[in-house]
Amino acid sequence: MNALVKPIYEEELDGLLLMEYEEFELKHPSFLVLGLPDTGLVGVISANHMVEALGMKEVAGIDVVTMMPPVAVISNGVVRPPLRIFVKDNLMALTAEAPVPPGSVYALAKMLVDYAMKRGVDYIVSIVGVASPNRINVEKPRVYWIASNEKARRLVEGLGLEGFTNGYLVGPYALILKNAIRARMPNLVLLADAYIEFPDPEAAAEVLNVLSKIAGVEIETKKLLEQAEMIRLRLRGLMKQTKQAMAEMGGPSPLMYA
Amino acid sequence: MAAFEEMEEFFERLRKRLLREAERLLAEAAMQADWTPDGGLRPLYTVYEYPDRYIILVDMAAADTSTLNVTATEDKLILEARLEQELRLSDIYGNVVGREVSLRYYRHEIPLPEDADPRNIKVNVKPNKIVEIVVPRRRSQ
Repeated sequence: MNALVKPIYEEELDGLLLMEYEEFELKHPSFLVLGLPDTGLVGVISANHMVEALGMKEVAGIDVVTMMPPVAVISNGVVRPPLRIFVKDNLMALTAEAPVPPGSVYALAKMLVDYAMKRGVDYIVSIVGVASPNRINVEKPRVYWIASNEKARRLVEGLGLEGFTNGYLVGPYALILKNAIRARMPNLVLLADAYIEFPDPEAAAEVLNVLSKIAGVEIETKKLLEQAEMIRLRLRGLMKQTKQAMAEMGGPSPLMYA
Repeated sequence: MAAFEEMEEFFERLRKRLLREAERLLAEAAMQADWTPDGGLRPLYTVYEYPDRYIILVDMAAADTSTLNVTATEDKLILEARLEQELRLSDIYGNVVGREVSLRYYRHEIPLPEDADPRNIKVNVKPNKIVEIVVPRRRSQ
């Protein structure tokens, strides 16, 4: 097997390299779902499960050219960058195998919003965990939202979700939201109550239920909940790296809730 | 004859050195990966600080929580539990290159802050195998 996929298109921005491996068209209304590592790895778990459940196809990726530690992800014998992009019908999903290095966060936020516009994406949906000290006493984590504009807000209309009115976002999702507002790109941020430092598949399942309604695509979560404990075991390493990256960016620490 | 024995000895030394080096690298990888070569897993945990108590949450995914044992000493908590079933690294991560390790139990020592009172801890196991340990704080004198 050839370990190299030759890109048909490349663009570079401040040490980030975006590659497309093949031509693709998105149906409309189209959604770019972001699964970047942060609190509870809710985005990572959601996006990974979505890719698997819907059988999405890997068509592009973003490499952090100067990433430390230097890592090459090998998937089925093929070298893949740490950020991988999959598509199916009207959905595009971004998954991450490593936390975004703090120094690359600005470039990544700009690249993603620009790329979404270039590809005619109608909505960027960010999936985020909210560090919730009371998470242990909650069986069904709640999902909240933040919308970059009126068009994004209309997505959650009638779903009975609470808006996220006070608090803060830290890391790539914060910059993506600000860039989206400036670019007038609809960005809906879905936030779920989550364990701060444990991978939280239950929170991911709740977000996916909301996403199914918004995107009009049924994303099954039964298997996700069945495999929850294995997912928690598998993601322990990424959770620890993410905690460290978040700390470098001034993210929430459990002691802040004392 | 002597030369042959010398060579054999040389290779034996080399073999032992390589084995030692392999063991050392494995132990180093285990530090990173949070498992030990003899089949132990270190769980993720979070410590919350409240005015009157510490709450420690421990993620014991895939543990048989009926075997959970929490021992408190003056300055640390020792947590132990068997896994529901023996897991190989490849069960968790898919393909594993190199030596396969079988994981059988969780074990971790969590250091306690100085003002923790380890005599009255409460352990509460949630159905999703998150373990909550409440450790009271001593009143400051």
